[in-house]
Amino acid sequence: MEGNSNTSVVPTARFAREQADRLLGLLAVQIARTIRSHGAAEVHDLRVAIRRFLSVLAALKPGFPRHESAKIRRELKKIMPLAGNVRDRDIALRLLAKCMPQAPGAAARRFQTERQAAAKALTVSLKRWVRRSSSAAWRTALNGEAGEGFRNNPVGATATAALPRAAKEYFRCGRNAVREKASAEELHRFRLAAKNLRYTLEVFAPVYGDSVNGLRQQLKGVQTLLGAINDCATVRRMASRLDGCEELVEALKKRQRKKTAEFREHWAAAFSSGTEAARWMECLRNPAGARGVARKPPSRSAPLTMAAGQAASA
Amino acid sequence: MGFWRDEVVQRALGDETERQMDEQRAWIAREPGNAQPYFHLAQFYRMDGRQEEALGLLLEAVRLDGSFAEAQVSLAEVYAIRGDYEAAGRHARAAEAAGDRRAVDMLQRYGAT
Repeated sequence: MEGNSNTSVVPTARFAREQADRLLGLLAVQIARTIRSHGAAEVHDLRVAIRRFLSVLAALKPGFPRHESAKIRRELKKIMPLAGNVRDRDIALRLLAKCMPQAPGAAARRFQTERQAAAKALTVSLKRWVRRSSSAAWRTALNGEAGEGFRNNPVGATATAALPRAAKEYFRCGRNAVREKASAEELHRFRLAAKNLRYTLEVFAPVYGDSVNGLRQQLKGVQTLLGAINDCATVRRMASRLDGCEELVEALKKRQRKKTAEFREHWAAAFSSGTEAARWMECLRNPAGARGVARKPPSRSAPLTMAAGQAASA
Repeated sequence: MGFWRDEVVQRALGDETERQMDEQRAWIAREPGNAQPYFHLAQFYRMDGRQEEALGLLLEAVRLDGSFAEAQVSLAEVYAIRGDYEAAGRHARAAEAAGDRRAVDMLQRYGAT
């Protein structure tokens, strides 16, 4: 599919509101699901749902009342670490089983106990969210007035302002992270930039259509590798606090080195010449159907739907 | 009568509804790009009076398949109930374009267009 020209001319405030309605509803579904069963998949999906909703609030910030939007972001950022605690234990248990299949023993029991406590804390927080009817209250709060200048600005123009900026930061951090002597901090910064670009790209996907599918796939590949590196670092930190986990810490160190090397190879293959990065920047600056949209009057009839092929990806 | 209705009949119906909803959730997990299970799950949420969740699922269904007429009609209904006739009209017209005039007729009947 080409870029959706109908979506490009939709006023940003309307686009923001419909995206928020959709993602807030999906978040509420995910919260209900996690309260019922807080397995690894449910907690992972909850974190993704929160991130998606947060990225709409961030990417389309002027489209929402400032005070209310900030309050919602703060509330969600309280839930994220609670879900993160559960997720970290799930990763620890998975890596423990992978690196030391014969002797998981005391460490596994410890991680299991910590996971149960973390899941309980998360469930309490989610139940409070449901009790307060937060999704209805948030929807009402977000439906307030958007900034005057932003209200009728076509979403195509908003996308071409936001995405190249996020992509520029991504490529800059990537070049730093891929150096032989890059620090853990630089890798972490790159991971955040990759996440930011991916979720911002998802927010504006209806504007670009299939033209950015290649970039989304590349981002997914980079994020998988960066995620694996981060998983090793997180579990290493957790395991180093426990007695008798020296073997696991060593195995994780080795695995982290291997994944870092894989990431460097992957990046070099995709972006070493710089032409691929330049191609993506050009594509993000000129979404099909968004060219010249600023001069067209906003469409009053086009619903903000995307054609098939924009399947939700985790 | 209250005991039988609340503790036996409603509970049995509730359990059956939850089972059906779990089936739809499992379908979504298997095929996240298919609009159908989002639509079906939304109908269960609507029956349960949970309009917020239903709205999110319906918008996801039409995001995946813009020509999904039944989902567009449901969205027009949800927005009309909320009093957002502009959004209701948009989705009603999208449903009409996909071959289903029910929502357009509904809005005309109530003088909302």
